[in-house]
Amino acid sequence: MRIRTKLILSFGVIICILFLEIVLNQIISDNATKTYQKLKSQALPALRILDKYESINNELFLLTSNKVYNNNLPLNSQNRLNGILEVELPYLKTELFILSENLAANDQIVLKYPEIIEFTNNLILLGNRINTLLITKDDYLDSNKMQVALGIVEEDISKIHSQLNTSLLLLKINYGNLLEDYQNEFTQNLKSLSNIILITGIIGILFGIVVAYLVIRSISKPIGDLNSAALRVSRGDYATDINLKGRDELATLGNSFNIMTSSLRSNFELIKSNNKEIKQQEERIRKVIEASPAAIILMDPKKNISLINLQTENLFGYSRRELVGKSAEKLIPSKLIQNGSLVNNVFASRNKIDILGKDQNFYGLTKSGKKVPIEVRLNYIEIHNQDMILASIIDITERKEKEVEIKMYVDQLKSKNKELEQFSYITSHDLQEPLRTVLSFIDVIQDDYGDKLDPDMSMYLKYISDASTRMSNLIKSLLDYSRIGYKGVVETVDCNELIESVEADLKYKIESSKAEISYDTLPIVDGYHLELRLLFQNLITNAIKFHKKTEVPKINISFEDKITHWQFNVADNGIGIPKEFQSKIFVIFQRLHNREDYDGTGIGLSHCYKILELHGGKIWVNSEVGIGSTFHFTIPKNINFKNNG
Amino acid sequence: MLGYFRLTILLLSLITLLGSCSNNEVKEINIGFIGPLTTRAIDLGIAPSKAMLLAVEEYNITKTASQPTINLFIEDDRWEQNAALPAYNKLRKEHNIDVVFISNTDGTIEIQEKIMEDGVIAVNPINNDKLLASLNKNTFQIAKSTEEAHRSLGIRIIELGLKKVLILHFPNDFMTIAANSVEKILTERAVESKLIRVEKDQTDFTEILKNAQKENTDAYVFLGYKDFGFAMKQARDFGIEAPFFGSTTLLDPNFLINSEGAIVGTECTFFTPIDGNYILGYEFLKSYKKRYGEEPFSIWPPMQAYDAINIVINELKMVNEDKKTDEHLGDWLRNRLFNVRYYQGVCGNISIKEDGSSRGIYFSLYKVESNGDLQKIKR
Repeated sequence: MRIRTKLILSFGVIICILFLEIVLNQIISDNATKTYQKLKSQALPALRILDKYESINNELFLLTSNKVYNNNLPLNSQNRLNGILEVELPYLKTELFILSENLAANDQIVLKYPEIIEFTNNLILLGNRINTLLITKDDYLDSNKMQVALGIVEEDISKIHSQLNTSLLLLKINYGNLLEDYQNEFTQNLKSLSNIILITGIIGILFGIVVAYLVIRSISKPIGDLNSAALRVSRGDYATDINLKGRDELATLGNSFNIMTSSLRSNFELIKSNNKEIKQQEERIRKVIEASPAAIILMDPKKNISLINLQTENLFGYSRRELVGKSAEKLIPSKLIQNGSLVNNVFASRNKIDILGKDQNFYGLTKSGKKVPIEVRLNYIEIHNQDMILASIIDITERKEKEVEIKMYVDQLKSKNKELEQFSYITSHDLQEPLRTVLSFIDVIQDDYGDKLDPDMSMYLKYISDASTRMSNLIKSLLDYSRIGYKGVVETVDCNELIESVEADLKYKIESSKAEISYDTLPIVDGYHLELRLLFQNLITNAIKFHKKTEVPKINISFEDKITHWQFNVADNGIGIPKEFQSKIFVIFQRLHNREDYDGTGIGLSHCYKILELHGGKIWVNSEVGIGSTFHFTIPKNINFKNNG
Repeated sequence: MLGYFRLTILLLSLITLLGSCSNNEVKEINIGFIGPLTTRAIDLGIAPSKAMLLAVEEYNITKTASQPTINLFIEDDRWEQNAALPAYNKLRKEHNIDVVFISNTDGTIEIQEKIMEDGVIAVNPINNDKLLASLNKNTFQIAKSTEEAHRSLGIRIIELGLKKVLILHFPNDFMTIAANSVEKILTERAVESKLIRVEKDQTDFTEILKNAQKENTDAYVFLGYKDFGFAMKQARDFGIEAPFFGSTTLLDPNFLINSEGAIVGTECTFFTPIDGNYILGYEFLKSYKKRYGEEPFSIWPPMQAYDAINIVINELKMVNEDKKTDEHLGDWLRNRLFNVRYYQGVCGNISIKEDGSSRGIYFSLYKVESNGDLQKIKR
């Protein structure tokens, strides 16, 4: 049986006993109260009234007798007699009436009430008669009066007094018996009450002792077994099992305990297995760290080193013993210590990775005091619930040296390039001068000696003039090429306005070729205004120039908004470019056609290529012979201003 | 939110209603006393007012929380009939009294109409006669019977064998009734008597006395107040040696002073604690002395007044338990007083009759001693 059931049953029985006791007590108490009420409201008042009645009856008889027999009555006695006749007897009548109202119809007093009232009224009447008869001493001398008075006392008052006394006595006996009965009943009730309390109390106590013994015995032994088993488990003996018989809560608790110890065993094995695996994992990680080509330092939030690898020893020249437990600041030159706040930042942000020495110089300090350029990568990690920083340090001495060397080469290259550009410019400029002289003299010869020259000579001069003009154009183009980006300024360029100005400049060509130029609302971009104008002008000019003779040239300029850049597309319906030449068209002085078919220097697309290179963009072409070409180029949204100027 | 507001209003209304219900409880009852504090018959005014105040104080100290506080307010009527109504009106106006005690019989008659109109209960704690008993239902007399007390005086005269009696009486109802009672018993027993009604402020009785002396009057009955002290003095001065008889008012100190000793030997009807409940009477006198530092000169008026007001207080203290909310206090108290059948007071066991008179206080005969005290006469 379950303990709960046992306890409920036990307490239930005890409560029943108590309830029974309460009910019995209540019944007996009610009886006792009723008896007491009867005692208080009937028997005792009745006896009190009867006693008083008897006393007043006797006193009245005495007073009237004295008044008659003793020749006058002292005034005090007379006053008393008057009081009895006027106050006491009427009051007793009223009291008796009130009492009889509260009594049962068959009660002795109720039955005797009319008789007593009649006696009383007669006594009052007779007393008053005597008072009227015998007022002064002279009245006592009046034999008639005395005879009447004696008659009243001896016959009437005496008789009624006796009858009233008898009635009162009988009633008193009755009520005395009744009072005794009530008292006995009341005593009996109290005795019964006491017995019930005693018996139920003893039964309750005995039952309580038995229940307590049984319950304690059924609880204490299993609890003791459980306690011993729990102590064994606490000492690490997870093989402990207990066997509690029965089906009560403690047996259930015992089973739960066994399940718990079994679970603990399993968990303990699992923990052991996990610990072993963790140790193996740690060993592997340790080996990985050890084998890392970078120096690795593990430090706590106070920057105290808790782990280093071999590379750290090699890099800084300290042994493990000299570093573990010491501050990592020891490995940094004092003037760079403030950078140590990065460690705090890493702790604060967690998961954040900070790198020292990538974009700025950062140095480590070896045991010998030598400063070594290093790049440090700081990673936040949590080990055994403790915040740690893993610093991976790479010696970048060699990289730094290479960077210096590369920089030197770049600088040399830039210098050479500059010189070359200068040379091209000077050369182009200076070459124009002798060409202009040659052309001037050809003009002079033709003007002054034109009619003297034979046709061959004139033809030869024309060849020389054309060649010189072509050379001049070439040099001019070359000069322009070399000047691209020279002293330019990046500014905001509205491509719509730009196209409009190009259309204005090319008005003659457009009208003569009947070219149709269309474009969407183009974006506003950042770039070199003149160069971008030249870019659009070259592409539009080429589209007009290389149109099919059978068709009106149609040029469409569109754009695409990419994330990092604008992509412009200039499409035409021209003659197209064969696939094999599409990669050569941006090379300077490359021509795909005879000068007779299409004039030009062959440098326009090279200009375009260089302009876009200047802007950090690209240019390419998609073309199909006989269909047309589309030149695509991109302009970054954020131009690298390093190129500016 | 509105629900809570309504609930709060409802609760407040309920509390107010309950509060207003509890306000029906009578917290305070004012009682008035109209009696002679100056001029004449002050023994019927001063000491009774003190005894009544003592009773009120004793009640207020011992009363429970649910019982009403009782206040007593006193007015002087100088033993004048026409002063009663103004005094009553003043008490009503200033203190809104619900009960008035009044010692003067004429005054009691004077306020009859007004007390009925106001629903006030009137109690005469000094006199109790058939005239008073015939007054309206709101009037009670808790005192000795005037006729009975003076009848005993007549019987005494008869027993002493005196044959020619002069009865002088003050011109008020009480003394007239007293005189008639004496005369009646004397007439019944064939004793010659002469009844003379004196003037109110009369102090010279020489003519009456000389005539009586000439007529060989052998007993002189003075039923009045202090001015009859002059009459006694004048009688003795004329050489009249016949016994004197008096009413209940002989112990007015001024009576003694005015008589210049002639009052000594006068027999009168009177009341002391041995005529009533000696134990309670003795306790009362002790409390009186403790409260006021002296015992009353004339004992019976304060004793009667003490019993009378205690009978009323004994009923009034039940007002919050017994009176219905819509029942008028005067009606309720009248009905309660009519049911007093047995009150054990200092004057004896008292009951109240259907006509508002009381029974249970019986006077005896006393004689004025040379020291001014009274000595009970043993027959």
